[in-house]
Amino acid sequence: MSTVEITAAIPGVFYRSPGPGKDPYVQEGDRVQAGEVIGLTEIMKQFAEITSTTAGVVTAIHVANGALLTPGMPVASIDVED
Amino acid sequence: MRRLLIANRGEIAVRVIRAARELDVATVLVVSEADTGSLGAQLADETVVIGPAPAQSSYLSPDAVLRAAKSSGADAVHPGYGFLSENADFAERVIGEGLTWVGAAPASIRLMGDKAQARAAAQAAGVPTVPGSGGALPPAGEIPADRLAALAAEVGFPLLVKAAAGGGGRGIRRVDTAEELSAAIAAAQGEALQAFGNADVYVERFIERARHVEVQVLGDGHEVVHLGDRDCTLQRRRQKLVEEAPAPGIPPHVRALLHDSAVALARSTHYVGAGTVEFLYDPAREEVSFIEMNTRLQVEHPVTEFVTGVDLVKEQLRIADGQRLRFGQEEICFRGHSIEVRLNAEDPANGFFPSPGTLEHFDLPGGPGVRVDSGFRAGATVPPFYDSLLAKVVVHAEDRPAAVARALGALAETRIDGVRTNLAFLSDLLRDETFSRHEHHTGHVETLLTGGPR
Repeated sequence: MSTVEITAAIPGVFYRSPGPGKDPYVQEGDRVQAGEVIGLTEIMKQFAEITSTTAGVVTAIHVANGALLTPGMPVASIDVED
Repeated sequence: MRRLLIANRGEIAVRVIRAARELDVATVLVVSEADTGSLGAQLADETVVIGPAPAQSSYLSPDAVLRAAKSSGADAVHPGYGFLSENADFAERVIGEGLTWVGAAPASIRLMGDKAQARAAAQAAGVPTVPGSGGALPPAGEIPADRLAALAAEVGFPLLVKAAAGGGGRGIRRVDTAEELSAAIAAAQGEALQAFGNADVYVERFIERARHVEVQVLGDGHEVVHLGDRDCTLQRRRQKLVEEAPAPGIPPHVRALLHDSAVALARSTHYVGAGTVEFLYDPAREEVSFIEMNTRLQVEHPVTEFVTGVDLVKEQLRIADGQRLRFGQEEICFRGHSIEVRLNAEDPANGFFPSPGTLEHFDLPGGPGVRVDSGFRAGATVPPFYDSLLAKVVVHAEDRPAAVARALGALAETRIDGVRTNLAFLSDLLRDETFSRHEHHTGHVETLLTGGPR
């Protein structure tokens, strides 16, 4: 088992769900596929998806909904079965 | 009015500060934590930090702005454009606090903010509207065939089925033939319910090669004047890129109808302040139709200021302060041609993706007939939280070709490093032959970008 950190590529505001009142893309404990959306970054009124780089289980989401992202900041941890 | 709170940021905050200063009104600028070092913050008499960077907890928070107005002793609020500028509840609260609202009456904001009511008001004032069903249609299966046929005949094809709760290009379906109409309405109603939780859809004529033309008005509650028209046809994803005054190539009888319609609508609503009545112009039919009225200052107001010599922001402040209009319609003269281009921090090579960063070089143009409105200076940081507008480069010259040449010269002088910009793309647009011949339409920029037929 190894852990992969998903990091922010661009600065902006982090959202866990596709819109206000909508369910989060992923919860801790969820299984995700490579390329699956785990959150959004709002940058200058545009939205960019944050996707998982690997298949695995989400063990932690490090950023609160509506919090600020800076490039390189860890967004989520994913456990990968070796 | 002694002390004006500005509930905005960027270039428009700077613009309002300059106007207030000329009228000897002190300024209080609200800033988010990301904007404490902005040009506006440097120029305002006082700044109040109202919240963290995300606009939702700062510039979009009525509570935070009103608290700042109280603590700073402001007696008036200018909302700029965007953010809270068309929030009728906020305007009401400002007025309820005994402050002067530099904007349209809350009732006007509310009326024009509701598409169906705005359209009804336009029709009542004798303003041409886009042919269509007006209100929401019944469920597709319940529309009698003869009623559907009559609607199709009146609207013509192609037409659009639009979700009432949609907007910004979402919830729109194009229909080309009468045979498809009933099924398209049914599908659109289902989609609208899914997407917006509201199944209401209406039908409207689709004008294939429309131009976006608008008329600036000023009202003082008694009298209304227009300050001519603007053309804002060059847009990408409904964001205007190039604006000009006057709108080129409009037949005189159409231009007169535009101006008269805008004044009639504003007059019928006893309009107070600066407003813009937007129309679609169909060059093939030589017809105009009302789209909406914006009850605030527009980004592109400088082109009107150039051709009329009227300072729209100072007039807004005077009107809000209870003064009557200082000029009649016949005293407003139009001279020359003005063009504005919006210089944005975005990367044309990467789908115009936003490009925040630090402005290592920020060399702006000058010379006769050149005006630059910006909220930045060299060395400033362009934060990732707000819109991507870096500067509006606005020129004035004797006619349209001279204005295009002046705008190209101004862009050639401009050098920006540290963020990606659409500078070169704007020059390409100004050199575009379709634009030169004013044969462009609202889809032209997308057509150019996708390399499709012109």
